Amino acid sequence: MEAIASTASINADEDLDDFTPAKLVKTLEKNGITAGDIKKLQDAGYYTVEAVAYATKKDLLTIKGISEVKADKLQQEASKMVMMGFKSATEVYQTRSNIVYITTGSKELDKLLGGGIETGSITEIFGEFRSGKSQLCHTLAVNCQLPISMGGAEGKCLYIDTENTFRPERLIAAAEKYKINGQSVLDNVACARAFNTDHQTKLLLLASAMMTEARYALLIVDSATGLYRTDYTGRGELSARQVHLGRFLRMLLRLADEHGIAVVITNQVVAQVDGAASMFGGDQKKPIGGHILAHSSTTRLYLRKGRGETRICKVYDSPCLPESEATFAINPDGIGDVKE
Amino acid sequence: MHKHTDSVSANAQCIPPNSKDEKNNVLTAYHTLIFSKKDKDCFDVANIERKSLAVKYMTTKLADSEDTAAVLLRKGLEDYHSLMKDKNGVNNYWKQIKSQLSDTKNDPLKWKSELKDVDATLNFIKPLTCQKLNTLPCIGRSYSDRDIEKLMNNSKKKDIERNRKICSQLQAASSQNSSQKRSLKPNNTHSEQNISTYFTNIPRNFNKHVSSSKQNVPKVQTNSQSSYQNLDRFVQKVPPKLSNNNMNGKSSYRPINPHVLQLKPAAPPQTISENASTQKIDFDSFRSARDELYIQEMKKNKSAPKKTLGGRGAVNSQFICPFKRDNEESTQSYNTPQGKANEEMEDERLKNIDPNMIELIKNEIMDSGKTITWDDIAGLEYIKKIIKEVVVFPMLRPDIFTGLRRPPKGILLFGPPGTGKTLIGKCIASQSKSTFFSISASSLTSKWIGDGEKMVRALFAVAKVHQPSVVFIDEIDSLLTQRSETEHESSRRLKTEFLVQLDGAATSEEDRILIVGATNRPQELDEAARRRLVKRLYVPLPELEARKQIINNLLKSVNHDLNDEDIMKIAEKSVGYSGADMTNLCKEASMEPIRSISFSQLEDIRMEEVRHITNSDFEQALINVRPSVSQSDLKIYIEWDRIYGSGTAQSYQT
Repeated sequence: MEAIASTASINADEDLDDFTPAKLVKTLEKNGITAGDIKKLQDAGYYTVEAVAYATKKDLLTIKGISEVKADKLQQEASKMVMMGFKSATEVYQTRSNIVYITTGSKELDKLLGGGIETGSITEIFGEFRSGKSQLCHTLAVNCQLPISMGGAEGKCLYIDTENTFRPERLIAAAEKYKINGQSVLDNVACARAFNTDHQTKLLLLASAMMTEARYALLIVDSATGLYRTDYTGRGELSARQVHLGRFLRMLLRLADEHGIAVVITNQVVAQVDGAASMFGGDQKKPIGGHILAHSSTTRLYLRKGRGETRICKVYDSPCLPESEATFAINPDGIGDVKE
Repeated sequence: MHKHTDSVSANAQCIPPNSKDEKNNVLTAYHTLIFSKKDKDCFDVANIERKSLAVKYMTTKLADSEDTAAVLLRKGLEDYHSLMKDKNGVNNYWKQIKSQLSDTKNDPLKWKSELKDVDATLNFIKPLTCQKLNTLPCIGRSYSDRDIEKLMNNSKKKDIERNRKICSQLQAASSQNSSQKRSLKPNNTHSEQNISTYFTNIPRNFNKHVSSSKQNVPKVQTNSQSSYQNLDRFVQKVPPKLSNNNMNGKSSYRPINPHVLQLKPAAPPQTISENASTQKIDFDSFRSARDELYIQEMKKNKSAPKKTLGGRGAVNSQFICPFKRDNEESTQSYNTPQGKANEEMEDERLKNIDPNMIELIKNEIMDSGKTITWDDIAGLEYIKKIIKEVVVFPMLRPDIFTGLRRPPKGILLFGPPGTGKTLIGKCIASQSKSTFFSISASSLTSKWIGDGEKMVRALFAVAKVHQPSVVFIDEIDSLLTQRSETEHESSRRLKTEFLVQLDGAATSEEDRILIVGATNRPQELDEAARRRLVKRLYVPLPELEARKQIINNLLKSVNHDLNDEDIMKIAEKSVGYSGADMTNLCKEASMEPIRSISFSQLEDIRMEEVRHITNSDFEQALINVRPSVSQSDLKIYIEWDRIYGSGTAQSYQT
């Protein structure tokens, strides 16, 4: 009986804000948190109850005007509303079987990825230049707006562009593949240029605010590591860079968790000019970002150029996908299958 | 408590009867206490009152019973209570504070404002437990000295320390400031904390102001004059109301002080708006892809910006499914050229029907290319009259042909072959100005089971949408033969569907659909179909006049030497010829002149040189062309018409 009641209340909650699975931090007001404190939380970038619940006490204390007592109270109330305990594998299996995958546009690639780009996790795409990273991102920005029946996720797209490679024309071209209005597709994509690593991180705070106001399905960071390469140079700054990058990736993961969005980041490669690899003619490219990035991203895909328009995607690291390859093509209307 | 016991001990053992002097002593002491009240301020009065109360209690306790002592004490405490509650007396701490601050020249207004602080006031009142608990022997005494001092310090702290930094750094080293500072020195560290917490309580934007003022500090110390200017500028940012207050201010540090104090309530709305504006600015860093495209194109072409309507495509707008909008637009574009309402109705009625079938049925709609007038049909005057009644007049005056005068839904034309049944259909098509469907069995049957029925249904649905409409079914006996046990299941279903659609539960009186069926074998028709084709008209063989007319019509296009008498003769000889036979006869006759031309001449003979058709040609043709309908065939029609028909045959026979 109680179980039914609780599920009913959960359903009611879901009806309230249907564009994001997360609960807005405003709902804490019912649990005795003052409006002023909520304002402070929002100013610091905590827009959802999950964000408060997942944050460490240390982080909460850095918010101006949140005392130790208040931080305790906040976490206590937030953890009441957010399920943070153990779950049975059956439940996890059930929720995972309902996960939405965003199609890449290529059947082969979708098959390799088990349906497409997984929502609620970070997918990293790395490869050389002209290996199709940005093209894949552009296609995904359109595909995420498709109905779920067509392999989309029925949500808007956030595009953080650090390399100045965002071209809306490509979105219109990709929209034509589905015979949909290019203008409305463009309206559903919010893009921003990041100019330095701090700005890049700050944009995520904004992103979390925007995600509470509209339904977003995809967050693209193209590329996530480009700015780090130049903002931090040399061995001396390596630790600072990795810490900063780690924090950035942590925020991405938090967004993916809270809002159930798919996060796609691209990564650059570094050539190994010395060492054994070059001597034996092996693959000389390695993704940058080090172990921090390697551990943070759920799925890592390695793109390399094939013949002509074809590109080859290899699963580099994944919790469940087998390590295999698929070939896709970059067509005028975005990513597609290779035409024989 | 300490003092209390002192006084008690002083008066101890004074009550016993053996020592009346003691009692007198006590009384004198009491009196001196009471009379010493004069010319004292209220706190001293309260003090004395309390002491005297204690003395009184002890005395009565010693001298009398405890009961009386209790009664007296109670009464005394009540008095004391009223004294304490007196607003002009002890309860007003202003005097006390004033006494403490007598050396400063502070504006008392400031103190008033400070009392607004609820916490401070509450702290103020708390120690006075004796107000609530009368029975306790005045613990409240302790408030009088140390507590008030504490309160004093507290209030001073709150007020002065807030300004302390600014004041001290202003080096407006007036005597009152320095004295205050001296008194506050032990609290300095604590006060700094106070200030910081206070400022953090103010939303962050105000904080910036403060920090900026702090940055000004070194300057301030060196040049007090300029610092004042700075502060004035600072103050000017405050709404005009506050600056008015400032004008009233008299004390030296007032210009700074009130604004700090009063900004507290004023700050939140200001900061909120500022926050909102900053957030808006922040959102600007994300822009929608449409804007981005526009900007990029601008960069490329540097063309004049195209004006767009506002309020669309903001980054923080809701998700709009691109498909939905697409559909709307497509339907809009589809609707605009044609009548919107009509299309909507069509959509409603055709929504359950397969669009392919609708397309197939629509292909059967006949555009009458060649117009056929009623005059093209020779004879058959009665039939023409009936059909005009049923088809044409209701078109012209739909208001008259309602209710009982409603035209029938079905007409059956039957008669021997070649008598102009199909021609009548064609004529209806071109004359009725209604949608004309020419249906044969081929357009309704399908190789898929069930599709035939659906086609029938689609036919009637489309006809309903495009009404008024006429459905002409030539050789209707192929579709609606007598239902029998031997026939195939699918044709059976097709028939029943047809019957249902013709006149069933779903059909309405208002529908203006006319079914015209033509057949050579009316006797094979299903009886239910027969019932539904209300007007059953016999199309007979052409009469003498009709035959004459046919010959005249046909010979119009060729040269001939026939006069009216010849034509009359030919018509008389061609009894029993159907319309088709008559056409055949004329064709045959017109061929005779061509046959007389030799093959060698045929190549270069001119059109005019061909000889005219003569009477002998027709006589020859009458031998070659025989009627296709026998009299026995006609009997069947006449018999059928007698039983079921509308009496046309009878009218012809007479």
